[in-house]
Amino acid sequence: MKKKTKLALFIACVCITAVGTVIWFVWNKPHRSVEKEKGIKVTAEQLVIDYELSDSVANSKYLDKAIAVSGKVAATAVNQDGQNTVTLQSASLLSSVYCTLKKGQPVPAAGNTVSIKGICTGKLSDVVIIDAIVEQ
Amino acid sequence: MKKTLLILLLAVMCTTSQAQKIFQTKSGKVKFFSSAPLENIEAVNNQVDSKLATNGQLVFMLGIKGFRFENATMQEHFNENYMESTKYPKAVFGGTITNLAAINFDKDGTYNTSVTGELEIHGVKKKVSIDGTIEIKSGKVSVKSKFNIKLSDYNIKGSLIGEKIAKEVEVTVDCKYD
Repeated sequence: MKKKTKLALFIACVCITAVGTVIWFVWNKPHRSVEKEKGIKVTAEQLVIDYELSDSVANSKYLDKAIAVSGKVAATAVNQDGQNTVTLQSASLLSSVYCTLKKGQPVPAAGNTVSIKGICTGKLSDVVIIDAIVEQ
Repeated sequence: MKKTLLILLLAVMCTTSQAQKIFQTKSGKVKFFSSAPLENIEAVNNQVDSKLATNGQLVFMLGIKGFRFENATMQEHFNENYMESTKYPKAVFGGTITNLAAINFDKDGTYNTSVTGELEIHGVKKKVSIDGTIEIKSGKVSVKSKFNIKLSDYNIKGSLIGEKIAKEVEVTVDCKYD
């Protein structure tokens, strides 16, 4: 009887530890990393056209997806939290592609053509890309 | 669509009346905070799109998926279980300053202000009145505000850790205009 109780206690302990470990790993899983994702290739012009045509259709295609946007750098800046931002030119006068770079990324010079890969969070005035890396 | 019209309206008003000026930013900041028993919930959005016109009109827009949490699981729950951000990707506020006469955009200073308008979160629109400050410093404008949002007002229910989060969250707005 005593042996059985001991065994039951042991099994219970193992189970609790296992469940605890799994919960800990799920809870503390790392953030998504855009470097490891392939990314949908699109030009800044096309991305803005798609969003100007239909927000909802474009969102189904791009929202929360990793996308690699190529285009000409119109401007660069530093935001309120010290993150670097890059605006990619489009054919539209009203909208561009506004990218916020990850820390440590090289900032391309205005006028250069680059490809920036990041996560699309939809369109406000501009199409917004965040957590981005500079590919070339 | 409504927002686009509002922005266009702002733009038109700017060109027709020389006295009006529009300040804008695409990198404003909105933070929210909620105390929870296990871990405080805190997230920041650094891509807040805002326009402020000297006639008192004010617009804020942000993408819900742009909120960044320290904890990735929390970020996932926030998007999937609470905000349903694929269905409702944006939050928008459009309103007007009610004490415009008290603000001199040409004179440096910090002005207390009150704004009334419509706040849309999670697909629910609600009339709100929010207090804040407008700071003018050598021609640069910044807006700050802190207010509480009741989750039930916007039909926000959490299905996973539903009971554990506060019924109200604190929202902090900090926008420096170009």
